[in-house]
Amino acid sequence: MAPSPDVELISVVKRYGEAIAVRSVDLAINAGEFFSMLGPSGCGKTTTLRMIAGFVTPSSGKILLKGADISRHPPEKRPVNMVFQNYALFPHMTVSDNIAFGLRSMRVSSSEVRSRVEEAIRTAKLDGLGRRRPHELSGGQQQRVALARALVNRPAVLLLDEPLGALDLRIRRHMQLELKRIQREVGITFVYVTHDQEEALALSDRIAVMNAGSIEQVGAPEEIYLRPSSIFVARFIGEMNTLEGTILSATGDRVFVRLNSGETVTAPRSQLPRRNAGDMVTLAVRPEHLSVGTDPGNLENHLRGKVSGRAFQGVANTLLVTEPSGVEIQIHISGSAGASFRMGEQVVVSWSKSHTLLFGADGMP
Amino acid sequence: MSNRRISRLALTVLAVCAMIFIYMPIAMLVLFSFNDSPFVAFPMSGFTTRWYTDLFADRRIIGSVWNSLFVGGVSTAIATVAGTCAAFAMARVSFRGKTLVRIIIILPLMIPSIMLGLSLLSVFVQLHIHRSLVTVILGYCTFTTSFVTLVVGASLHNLDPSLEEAARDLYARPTGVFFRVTLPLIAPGVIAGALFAFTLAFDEYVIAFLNSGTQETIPLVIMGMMKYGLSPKINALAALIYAASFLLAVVASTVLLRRGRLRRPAPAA
Amino acid sequence: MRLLRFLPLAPAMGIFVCLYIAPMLLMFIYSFWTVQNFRMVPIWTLDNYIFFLTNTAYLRVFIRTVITAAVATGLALLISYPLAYYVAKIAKRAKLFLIFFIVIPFWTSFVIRAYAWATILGARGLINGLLISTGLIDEPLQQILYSPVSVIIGLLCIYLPFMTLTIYASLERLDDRLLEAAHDLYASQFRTFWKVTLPLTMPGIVAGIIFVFIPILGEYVVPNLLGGVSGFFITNIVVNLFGQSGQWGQGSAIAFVMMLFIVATLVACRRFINYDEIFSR
Repeated sequence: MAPSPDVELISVVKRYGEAIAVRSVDLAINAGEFFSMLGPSGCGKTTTLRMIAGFVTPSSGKILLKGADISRHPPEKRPVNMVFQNYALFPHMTVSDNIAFGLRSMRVSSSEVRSRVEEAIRTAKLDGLGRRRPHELSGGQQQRVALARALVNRPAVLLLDEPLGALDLRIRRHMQLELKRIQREVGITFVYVTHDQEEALALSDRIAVMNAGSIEQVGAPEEIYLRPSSIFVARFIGEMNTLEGTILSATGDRVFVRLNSGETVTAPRSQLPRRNAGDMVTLAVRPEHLSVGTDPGNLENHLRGKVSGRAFQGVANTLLVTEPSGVEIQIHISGSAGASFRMGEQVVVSWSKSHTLLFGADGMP
Repeated sequence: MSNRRISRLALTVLAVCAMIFIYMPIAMLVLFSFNDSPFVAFPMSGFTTRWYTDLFADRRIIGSVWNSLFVGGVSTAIATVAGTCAAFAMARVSFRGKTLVRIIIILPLMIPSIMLGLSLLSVFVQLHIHRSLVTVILGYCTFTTSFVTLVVGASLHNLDPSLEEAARDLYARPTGVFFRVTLPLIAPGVIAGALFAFTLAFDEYVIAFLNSGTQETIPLVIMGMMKYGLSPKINALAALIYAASFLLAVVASTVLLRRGRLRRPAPAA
Repeated sequence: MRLLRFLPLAPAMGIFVCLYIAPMLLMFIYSFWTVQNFRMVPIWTLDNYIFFLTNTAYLRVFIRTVITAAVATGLALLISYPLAYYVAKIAKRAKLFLIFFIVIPFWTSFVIRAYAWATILGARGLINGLLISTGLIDEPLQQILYSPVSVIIGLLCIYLPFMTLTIYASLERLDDRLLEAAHDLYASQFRTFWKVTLPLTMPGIVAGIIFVFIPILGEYVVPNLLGGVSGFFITNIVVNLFGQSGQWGQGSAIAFVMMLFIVATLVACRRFINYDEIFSR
């Protein structure tokens, strides 16, 4: 029923001597999808991307492109193009010649080359810059040339290796929107690598969160944000408060957890289907799901603590509350509400049962 | 005067003295090339340009200029091709025994010329090969190739590897990558290496002395004249060679500086 | 086939094997052969080596060669370092310009420059001319030219730019901020130099020494032109042995003893320098 995936990685492993860079990764990326691989440095996301491109040969496993096994094909034989992290624009060629490079490699007729390059320049909003050399362009312009150079070849899949990393914040935000727009217009599958989780959440149809060579979770941004499948994903995406505790009882649709600070809180049973009373758990709640006040209010879970800090951030503010066992909790509140709290004041932090996340001692649900 | 200023002053004085020391012989030569006396001695007589005109009439000297250009040119050409290919192999192909090859490449620059010259002479005599300009060219090929290999090797080392990856990503095959991307970007290094190799060969005396036949190169003529009859014509020749080298160096550096700006990978915003 | 990837290396290796490795092997063999009727004959003997190692006159020249080379190298270092420092750290704006001027003579004929020094130092040269005209001496000094001193001067003139460039490259790589940090931590000019600059540029210094000392050992032209009877090098002896006397066996033996000395020097310097770094000018 679903169309066959554009790119498939089947049990792909990459070893460098003793070290394992990528541990048996399985991925299916759908046609026309904006798919991101997200993770900290060294998690294997760039290595995986380069295996799709053909610059790295997998130690074992297969890579399929639209069903065809391209695992052993060199990069020049794959209908895949890459936007490099440092753009890799040819410094000795003009913008037009850079963009035309792939077409010329494929011996496309010069008239067609000219028209396609012109079209690419227009689409990438590089009008008038065709004769310039890369070093005469701004960072944002260079980025667009790199993109145009790849897209003009109409590849089956476009690979992007942290393409916005070198740009200033404002330009980066703007380019993020541009990339999203271009991808939707052109309809090509994008495989995007980044360590910036906000970027991945904003741009992607689906995200694969990677850690130490393995994929922790694959899913749509909302799903990863609201229902992280491991403590690593929970902590890596957005801000997260974590507290340690032990399961008191698990009955019906609830789990009762006794926190190390002494309080008892409750969470949905679906959070920990396989754990029992006596197991150690980590409880997690997002800062924006917490409320602060002088009395408990009518939310199920409460914690007492002292205000230990305040950070003004414009849109929202972060209030820091330290609870009795020493853990510092972050709470997002609006500006006016935050100003009324004084340092050292005793407060009650409360949140709803449905917003409670639980993970076992191994970081998994 | 502060500590810092004293040291700055001292260094400046030292630097000036060093430069004078380096340039003194050159200045002397040029000076005496205009001296109206067949002796290179003080005090100086009048000003004349007759040595320059005499120079151009001297068949032996002019012949040696052509010979030097020929020998330098051919050995540099051979060295440039062999050296660039070798540098490419060292930088891009992986194989065992690279250290040994590296030593083989650098040895001709460390071994004294007399050893290179004498050993070649032994071979030529043993094989009854007649000595001529060709044998001199053969003698020059070794160290010129070494030199070009080293310089081009440095150029390749500085080349951003992602550029060649990008070329492959854009469907260029290995030869395409080399001719469309690598070679244009290392061209300044190749040219610099070639120019340098040429100047080394142009000026080389020992190997030429040991392996030449009847045809002479410039250093041979100069040394010959020095033993038997100094003439200010040599000064004139030297001055002209200096002017030519100077010009060549100016041209080479402006070319290199301009191309050099292109070699830097795309700067971040 | 896999061997094809060695193809680019083939022309260079062909040149090296045929034009210096094989010839040097031949010369090595010659050092163990005997000379009969001005020909090398394959009568194996160690006489050539024994003759050299027991000949006091030759050995004295060998030692003189080494000492002269060492002195010239030391002087070159003493002059080059400040010069390089000046260009790298002080005359910052004119840097490229100055390097240009230092390197240019290097690119021009050294035979001619050696010849020029002969004229400066000779009996009717510049030095004597100045000394006589200012009345300091009555008769020209004959001893300046054709002595180890003139050889050293000639060598310095030729090798200074080379040493300067090597040290300059090393100084260029020295991050200015390290020097600023040292001054920020109350170090004087001298202390900064001694504790920061000097140790960090040591690889460049050692490289410079190697690239000057070893070629000087093998110098022929300068000692020939400027050395006269008292200043010539072992290389001049070797060439003479190959020349009229036709003593190729002895000449080869001496040449290889010299090579051994050079190799020993290079090996001894291994702990001071990483040879892989030599692949940048």
